[in-house]
Amino acid sequence: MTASIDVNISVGLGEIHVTRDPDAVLICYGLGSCVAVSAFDPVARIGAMAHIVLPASNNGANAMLPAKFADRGIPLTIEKMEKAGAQRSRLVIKIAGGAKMLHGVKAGSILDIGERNIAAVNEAMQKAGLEIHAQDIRGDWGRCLWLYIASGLTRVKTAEQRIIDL
Amino acid sequence: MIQDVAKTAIDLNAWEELMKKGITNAISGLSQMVQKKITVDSVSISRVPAKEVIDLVGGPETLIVGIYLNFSGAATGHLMLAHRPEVAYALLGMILGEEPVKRDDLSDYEQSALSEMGNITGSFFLNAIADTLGITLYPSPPAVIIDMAGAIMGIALAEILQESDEVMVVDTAFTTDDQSAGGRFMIMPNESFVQLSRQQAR
Repeated sequence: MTASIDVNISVGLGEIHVTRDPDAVLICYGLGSCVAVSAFDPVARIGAMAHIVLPASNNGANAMLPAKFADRGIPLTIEKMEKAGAQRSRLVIKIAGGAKMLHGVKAGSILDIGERNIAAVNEAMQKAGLEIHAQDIRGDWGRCLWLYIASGLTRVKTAEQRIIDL
Repeated sequence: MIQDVAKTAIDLNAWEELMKKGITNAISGLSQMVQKKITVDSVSISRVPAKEVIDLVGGPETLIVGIYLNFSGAATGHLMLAHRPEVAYALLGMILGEEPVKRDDLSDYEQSALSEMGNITGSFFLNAIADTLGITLYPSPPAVIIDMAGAIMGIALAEILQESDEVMVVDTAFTTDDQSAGGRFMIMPNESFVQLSRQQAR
């Protein structure tokens, strides 16, 4: 067996990445109110990550940033995984983010985008018949989310270098 | 489509004039506050994908001190003073007249000093813009946040991305004349603001 080197793939705002490369590590950096959605099929060993920015689109399709909106981004991520050979019933879903970075914003108000993102991700998952297995959400701090394809491990890191394995 | 590009190029000149007026006033306000001469190193105006806005401040994972305000009234948008933590402490040293001590957090006193820096820079900027266009603009209270750049910039980006995939960003780099501190002042107008200044410029 040869030693492998991790290939870090940064999933930017509104992007979706699907991979079956065992050396790949999918990462959403600097999540505030954004929500990172990690999906992993442990049998096919296919992983995906979507960087959701907003809950719902007001107008039409968006090819440039496919995961900008939760209502479109989540079904699209699942579709891409299925195309790659993953099976919906096997998907392990984990999410991180949805913070409220501004203290002046009332929790649950229309300006609380983090909370609205979390709700929209939950709703889209429910529609897709999927449950969220683990999450590190809310609060008023930023996070990064890692998905290691080799092991299926998901790891959250905060600005204070706090590490949480989901 | 070609016509649109040409029109945008002409309008950008008027927009640039307006922004420079605002920035000059904002930096003069900041300079009075820290009691040092401040040089504007560069002003760049661009329309870029959201991801690139975060790269301007060092990438999404970089720890920054962000002083964030938004403004409302006849036009809306977002203002951000973004500094590396050591720069924020150096600026605090100038305001408070104490030697900067680098730590990972800010005391309430330091928070309010940085908040005041946001107030002054923001209101000097907005006053110049409002006077030029003959409109009224209201700044929000500033928020002072130490966290990952992506999480902080996301506050402004989420709102702008609701309307478009790209972000108009006016990015000013500045340094104090003694080179002891440099920082960034960023303006991210909502699309309606850019439209408004076009109408006014006609």
